[in-house]
Amino acid sequence: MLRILEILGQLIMVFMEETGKVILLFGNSLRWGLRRPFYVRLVVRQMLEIGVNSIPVVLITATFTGMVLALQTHTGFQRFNAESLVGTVVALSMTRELGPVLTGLIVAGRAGSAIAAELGTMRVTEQIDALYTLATNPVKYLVVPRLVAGTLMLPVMTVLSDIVGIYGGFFVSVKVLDANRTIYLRRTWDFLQFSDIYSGLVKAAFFGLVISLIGCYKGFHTRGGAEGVGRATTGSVVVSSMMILISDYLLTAILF
Amino acid sequence: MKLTAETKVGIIVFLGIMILTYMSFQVGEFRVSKKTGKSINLIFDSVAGLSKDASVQVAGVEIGKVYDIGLKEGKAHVNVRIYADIDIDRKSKAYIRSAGLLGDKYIDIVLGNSGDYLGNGGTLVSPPESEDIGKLVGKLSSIADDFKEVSTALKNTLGGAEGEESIRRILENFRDLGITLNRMVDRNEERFTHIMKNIDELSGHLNQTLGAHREDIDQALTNARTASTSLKNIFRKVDEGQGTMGRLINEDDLSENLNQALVSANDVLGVKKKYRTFVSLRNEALVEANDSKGYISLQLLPRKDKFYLFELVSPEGTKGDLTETRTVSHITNRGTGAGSDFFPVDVTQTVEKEKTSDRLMYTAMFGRRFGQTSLRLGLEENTGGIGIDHTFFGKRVGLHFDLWDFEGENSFGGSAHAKIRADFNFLKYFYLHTGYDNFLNTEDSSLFYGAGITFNDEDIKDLFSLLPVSR
Repeated sequence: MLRILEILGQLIMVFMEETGKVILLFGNSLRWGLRRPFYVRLVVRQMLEIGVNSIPVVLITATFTGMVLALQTHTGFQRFNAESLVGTVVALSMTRELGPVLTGLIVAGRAGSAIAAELGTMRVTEQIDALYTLATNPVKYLVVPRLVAGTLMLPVMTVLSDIVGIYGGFFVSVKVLDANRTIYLRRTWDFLQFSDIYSGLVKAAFFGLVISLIGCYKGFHTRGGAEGVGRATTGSVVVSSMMILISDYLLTAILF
Repeated sequence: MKLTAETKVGIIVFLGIMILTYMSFQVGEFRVSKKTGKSINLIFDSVAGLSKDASVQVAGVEIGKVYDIGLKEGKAHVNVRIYADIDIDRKSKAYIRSAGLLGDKYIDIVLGNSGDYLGNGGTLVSPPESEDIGKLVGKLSSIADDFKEVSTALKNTLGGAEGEESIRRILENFRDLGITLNRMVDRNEERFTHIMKNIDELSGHLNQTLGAHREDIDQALTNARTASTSLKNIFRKVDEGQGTMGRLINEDDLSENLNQALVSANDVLGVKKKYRTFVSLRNEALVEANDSKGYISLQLLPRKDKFYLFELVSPEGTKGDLTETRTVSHITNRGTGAGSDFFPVDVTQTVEKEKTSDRLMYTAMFGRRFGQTSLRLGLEENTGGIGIDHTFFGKRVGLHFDLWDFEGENSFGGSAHAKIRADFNFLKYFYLHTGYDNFLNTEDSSLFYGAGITFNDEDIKDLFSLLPVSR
């Protein structure tokens, strides 16, 4: 009995400790990020890594999500003669919810894991320690560019996936389901408000920050050789995916 | 050319910003906030359902949008922006209408032609009432409710295993009735001939009455035919899907939805009226008066303890007119002398008096029932009357007492007309009765007996189910 309590307590302690470390890392990055010199080149590089290279997979996901969304809502709305509202539903779901969340999940799987693996390898091969000897702050040099890149690129990618998803739905509705294209487009844009798009972008920026922060944290605290790197990679994907879904709910409930 | 990392990132970010800009111009909100166009104020009694950014149309073409909705002095003031190049006449009328059943409201402006145009910031007061889809749907659904009730009743009457069962039952009953009737006729042939003759006479009177009102009836029939022609036209249109009703009925999805809504509405309201009706025909042979009377009666029971009785009564006095002889004394001044002058002379005068007039008599009474006993009050054979009924042995035997014509105008003794009658329902539809009529006036009083048939609305329904119905 005591043992169970002990394990439970330990788990909670570990969780608290990790949370604390993540927050501290974030604080450190903020502190160092605001000081000169700014490594603009490194930021651009990370934007390429995290953002641009993830674009094909994000776009494909968004297209098919929009298409299937149109198909499904059509099936449902047909039952009460509201087919004309499919466009509205697709646009609202894409901008408010699926655009940011799916982009976040894919980037977490693709770029978040890459960050953890890269930093983890640097940690186990003692390259991070080497940075100290070069009088370079590893947080400033490695973590800050990634956080900035993630926070900036996720909204951009979300905008792309929004538009691609909306037009994927439009394609299915008009070409496959024989909807009236003018009415579909009117319903799409008439009911959409700018706050829908903007709330999705705020979420996306937050997800970008979470993904790169967790990736960096997992990489930075890797221990135990190649096996440790693998564990760090997996951990970063799992934790950031969960964080995305949890914070998605909280952000939606509190902010919008 | 190899793209550098910077270029790639730049392209993507630029693309994202471009798309964001495009989307922000597409979404409704941004277009509304454009303060372009001519501003016009419309005043309505009610703008229920109208929202900002609703479209303003002329002849179905959008010419502007609703910019603001406010309240001033209890009226709705709607500020609209007209961005189309169009002048609004001062005599124009604005209505709030709905597009589709889902109820997107828009403002419809019907242009006037006074040649005097509204400028920027001009005001147009709308006519007080505008027919909107909300009201129309309300009306339609109440109409559909009625339709539903009628059709459900018909379906219940004519359809299904229950209908078949009732047909079978009524056929059996008819057979039984036939057998019994045969037996009865065999046994009481003479009496039946008499009864039948009476009924014949009654129908003769009815015919007479109808003949007298021939023209009225013709007129009524013509009217009915015209009405049915226009009804047929309406239904044909409905059938072809013309008009809102037509579409409503012919579009399966819509009518299905409506149907479901109505079913639930019906369930909620639980409209099940039990309005029972009894129709009976009976005949009375008055033994001593050597006369007979026929009755057609209709009894309506809106509730268990309340009923209305309407009767048509064939006249008495169709047999044996009464002749009265009177002696009248006159004093004449003809002649002279004690023997002849101023001598009263008796003159015999014969006065023929018909017992009653040759017209049908009406009974219309209101009744209250208290258990087995009921009291009646109202018009009885054209004069005020009261009555009391009591039933025994599960309504197989009924005792009736009636008192009417209190002044004795139609009877000879000068007393009120009183009548006591007992009837015995020996079959479901058939009864025999006997009694003593007008016993307060000895001259006209008579024992009577007779027979009658009675059936209720259930039986009529059963008869309906005998009609061939295509399903």
